[in-house]
Formats: sequence, structure tokens, C-alpha cells
Amino acid sequence: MPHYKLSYFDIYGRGEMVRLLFAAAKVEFEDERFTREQWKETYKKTTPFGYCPVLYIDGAPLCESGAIVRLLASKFGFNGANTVEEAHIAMFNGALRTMYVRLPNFDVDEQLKEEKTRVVYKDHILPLLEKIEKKFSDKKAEFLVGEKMSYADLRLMQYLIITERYDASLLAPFPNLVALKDRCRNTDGLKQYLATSKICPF
Amino acid sequence: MSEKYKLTYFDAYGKGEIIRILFAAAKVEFEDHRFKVEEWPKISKEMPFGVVPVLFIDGQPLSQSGAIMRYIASKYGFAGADQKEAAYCEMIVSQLDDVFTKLPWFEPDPKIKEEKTEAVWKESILPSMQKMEDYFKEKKRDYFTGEKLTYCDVVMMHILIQAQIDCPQRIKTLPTLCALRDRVKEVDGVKEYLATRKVCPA
Repeated sequence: MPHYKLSYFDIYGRGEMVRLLFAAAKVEFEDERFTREQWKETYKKTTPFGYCPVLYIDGAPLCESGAIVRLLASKFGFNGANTVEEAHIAMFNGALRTMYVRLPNFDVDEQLKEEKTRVVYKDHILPLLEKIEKKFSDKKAEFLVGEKMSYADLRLMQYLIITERYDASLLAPFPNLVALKDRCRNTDGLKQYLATSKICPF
Repeated sequence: MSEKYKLTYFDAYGKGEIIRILFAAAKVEFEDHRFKVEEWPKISKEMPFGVVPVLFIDGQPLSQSGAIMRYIASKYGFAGADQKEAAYCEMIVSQLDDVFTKLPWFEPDPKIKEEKTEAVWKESILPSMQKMEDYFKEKKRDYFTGEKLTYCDVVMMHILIQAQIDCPQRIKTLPTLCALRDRVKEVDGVKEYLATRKVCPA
């Protein structure tokens, strides 16, 4: 087993999916977390392109969270049973990311932030969740794609936990997705990680 | 039985052209459904998540250009020799996507657009691409991530063809990548496609 080190800010951001994959796979990794100041002063210049997260595999750097997530998902068995499933998993992952990244995580004015958040949920996130809920309830299966848990399910779980903490009532129209979220968070590995990991606003 | 493909996208390069070039490199037929901007509100409602490009595979929709690109590349042998190489392909392509997305694609004022474009090339695109140039020069091989052509090389070619047309001065410090571009332009399938395709501004 290679030595893994994830190097990222002390937030969820683009790093948490990687941490969740290690947890779900029950594979150990070094979880290096730095502050913004440390990033600017020390870490940024050591990265391949000046961005993070970076995953060091036996010391060799790999950046771009999508590449990291897909490599680990493939290695650990969370990337579907074939290339068609891989593509559909990437599709759900991408669609969810596209909507959730619109949330105004860095806004300083609390009132403006709250207004913008409501708009993003109303105009982008909830319509998407409605489409996914319909597809998923038609499929009548345990996981979004194929027969096994994939990183698309982990992504959904991660985001729905964030939504749940913000305002759980928003998830009332999506009972199947809520059930999927809870099914994932109770799987061995994830359960322990979620019970002890740092809770971040985003 | 082989799959039937239909690509639905604007009549432009955007996020669709790479997929068209990959089909050409694979010498696989597909229906190239291009719609006009006026048709977009209607088309959007028919797409699974309201976005394009969408690749219909035997009638089943797949959205997210990254997922489509990786699917076609995997199926037809352009995704690298193993998982690690696939991850490095994705890293480079995602990094390029990140920096090119910063360009002012939809800025209406031509003067402001030109200024912003210069700034993005100088501050974001060239720093990343220079690192790629230096890395690739050291490798002394025909293709970026390994011994065979991958979709990473095709993306590099597409970007540098456009850059050559828009402002060749910008890429004069990337001779090894330009040589790669010219090599990929000659690849069987790609060559014929480039000679006959509709030329678009972007």
C-alpha cells in the first residue's frame, strides 16, 4: 500500500471528498491541513501548479480534486462496475458540484449571504435535487449508479449533510435522497469518520 | 453490437469540440446535433440537468463534458495505459480547464475583453502552461502523459490551435507543446476532421 498524504486547507472545500473516500475505504492517510497564511507563505510554491488539494502518493504529487477523487475511487472500488457507470457517476458528481459551488461561502455580510444562499437553493440546488430524486425513485435501487456505493453517493451525502445543517426542512421533498444519505453515513468507515471529523461551515 | 451516439451542443466549439475531435481520432461515427442559440430554452428543458453538452448513448443521456470525454477516451483507447496515467491526464486537462474558464468569454466590450484576456493569460494560463512545457520537454517523448496519444494531447492541441489563431505571440515560450500540437494535428482521423470541420470563433 503506498503512503498517501493529502495537503489542503482546514475546510471541506475540494478536499473533503478525498478524506471521505479514504474513510469509506478504511485506508490510512496523512491529513495535512494548513491555514491561508501558511498556504501563501509556505505551501503554495511547493505544489505542481500553485493550487490545492494535492495528494502525495509515495511523495509524488497529484493535483486537481477530480483527478484525485477518480483515482482513489477507482483504486478503492467506488467508481462503478464499468466505464458507462463511471461516466454516470461523474455526471451526478459534476451536476451536484456545479450547483453547490454557487453558495456564497466567502461572503462577509451575514444578511446578504443569507439572501444569496436562499436564492441559490431555490433557483439551482432544489430544482436539481428534484430531478435527481425523480430519477432515483424511478430506479428503485440502493445507490445512484449501479449496485454499489460510489463517490456520487458520497458527494450527495456530503452536500445533503451541509444542507441539513443549514435547514433540514429544505430536504423534505426528497425522501429517497435523504434515505440514501443516511444509508451512506451509516456504512462502516464513514460512520466512524463522521462521528469524529471536524465540522466545517464549507 | 456497437453503440449509437448523438452529441447535442451549440453550433460552436465551447465544451463540445473536444468530444467531436475525440470521435474523429477514434474514427467512430456520431450524430453531430448542433442547435442555434434561439433553440436553447427549449433544448435545455429536454436535457437531464438542463445543461449541454449531452452525449446520448443508445438514447441514454450523459451530461458533464468531463464525464463524456473520459468515457469516449476510455472506450476507444485514449485514456492512458493505467489508472495512474488516467489520473495524470485528468489532472492536466482539469488544470487547463480551470485556467481557461477565467477568460472573459462573454464580455461584450471588445476593449475590456482584450485587456482581461491579456491579464488571464499572463497571470493564470501561462504560469500553468510553462510548467507543463518544462515538464514535457524533460520527458523527451511523443505524448504528454505516456507512450500513446491520450485525450490530454487532444485538448492541448485544441487549445494551442486556437491560441495560434488568436495571438501566436502568447505561446512563443511553449515550443515543445506546440510541437506536440502539430504532431497530434497529423494523427489519422484528426487530420481529416480538422480539414473539413466548421470553423468557429470559440
